[in-house]
Amino acid sequence: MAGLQRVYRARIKSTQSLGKIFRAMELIAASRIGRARAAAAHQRPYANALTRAVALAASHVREEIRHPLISLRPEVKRVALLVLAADRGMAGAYTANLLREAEGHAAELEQAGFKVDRFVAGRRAVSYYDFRGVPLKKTWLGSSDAPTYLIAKDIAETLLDAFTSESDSPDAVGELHVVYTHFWNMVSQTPRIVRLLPLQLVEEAEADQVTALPPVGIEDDAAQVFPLYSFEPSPEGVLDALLPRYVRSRIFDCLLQAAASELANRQRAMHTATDNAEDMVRKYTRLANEARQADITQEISEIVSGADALAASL
Amino acid sequence: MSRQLTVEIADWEGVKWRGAGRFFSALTSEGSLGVYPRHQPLLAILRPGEVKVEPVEGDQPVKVRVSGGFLSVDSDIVTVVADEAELVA
Repeated sequence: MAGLQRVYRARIKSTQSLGKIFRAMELIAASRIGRARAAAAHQRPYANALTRAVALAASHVREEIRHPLISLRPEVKRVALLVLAADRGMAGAYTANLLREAEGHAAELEQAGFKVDRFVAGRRAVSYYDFRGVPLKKTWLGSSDAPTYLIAKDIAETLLDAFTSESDSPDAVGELHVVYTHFWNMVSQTPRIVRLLPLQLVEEAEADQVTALPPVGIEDDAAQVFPLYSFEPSPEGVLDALLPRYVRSRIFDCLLQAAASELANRQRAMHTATDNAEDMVRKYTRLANEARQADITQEISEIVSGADALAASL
Repeated sequence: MSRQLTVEIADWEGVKWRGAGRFFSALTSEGSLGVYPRHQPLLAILRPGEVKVEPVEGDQPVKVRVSGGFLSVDSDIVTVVADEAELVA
């Protein structure tokens, strides 16, 4: 019937225009990945110089290093969990995977007797927690796919404040764990949990289930013996100034990784969606053609049988 | 050709200036600091202020305003890592 044909035509049209939107989103995501990766590359000289300087200053401090950002705080039974998710959906299972990882980890921590303070960046994760009535300490919205240094700075300052506050204050935390999606390459991004605070400057045998960050400077400077440096004002003073910057730069790095992962996920999801839209258009075109053929066949047989009936009655 | 300094000034946005210089000066936490080639290895905290490089080519010194950060000198390589750096025209 002609009605069926019309239905199929309308469906083809709407699927086509959806396909165009998916295609555009895919292209936008693809072009932004380039920018996100470039931002990560630009930050590298800064991060490398910082890492080297921290390793250097640490190697020149004679006595055992005592710094609030390095020392463990076993008396504080609170852990800050920083979750870096996306502001928008349309990225497949990106946020869902990340949240599953984060909540699994939070459950483990709670079982071990810790209280978990959640700090969340990304609207999708915030609405997930809001819906479940989970209290959040602080949230950051609106820049998950193009993080700026200012956001990283704000996040770092909030968390450093929490980490360095007196142990009897309600905001104090003993550790900081970051859940973000690591960008390995264009096809592989996986959620990852790292312990950012307290910082590890020397390797210690740790039976922690969380991957701690590799000790500062271990990758390329391990075999290197540093020359005798002079410090202004002093090795301790330099370390004092460097460590908060180091934390900030690590958080920024996590944000950039998460942004690149989000965009790669979105590109992939939108690519699949475009393909599916094309498949649907193809399927509906076939059905519409079939319906038209059926209509024609029916009309012909009606005419023929009508003519037959007329001829017989004469 | 005498020895020269290789200077790199970077902030989180990337490298702001890179090149060869004859002399380098900056404001550190202890006061004003000048670096000629063959300077002792050094790690210093910067105060907000201007970092100056006298480049090998050209007479005009390159000035970069920094809002704090640190500075390392090692085998004639000067690395300035600023929180924010801005070239002064």
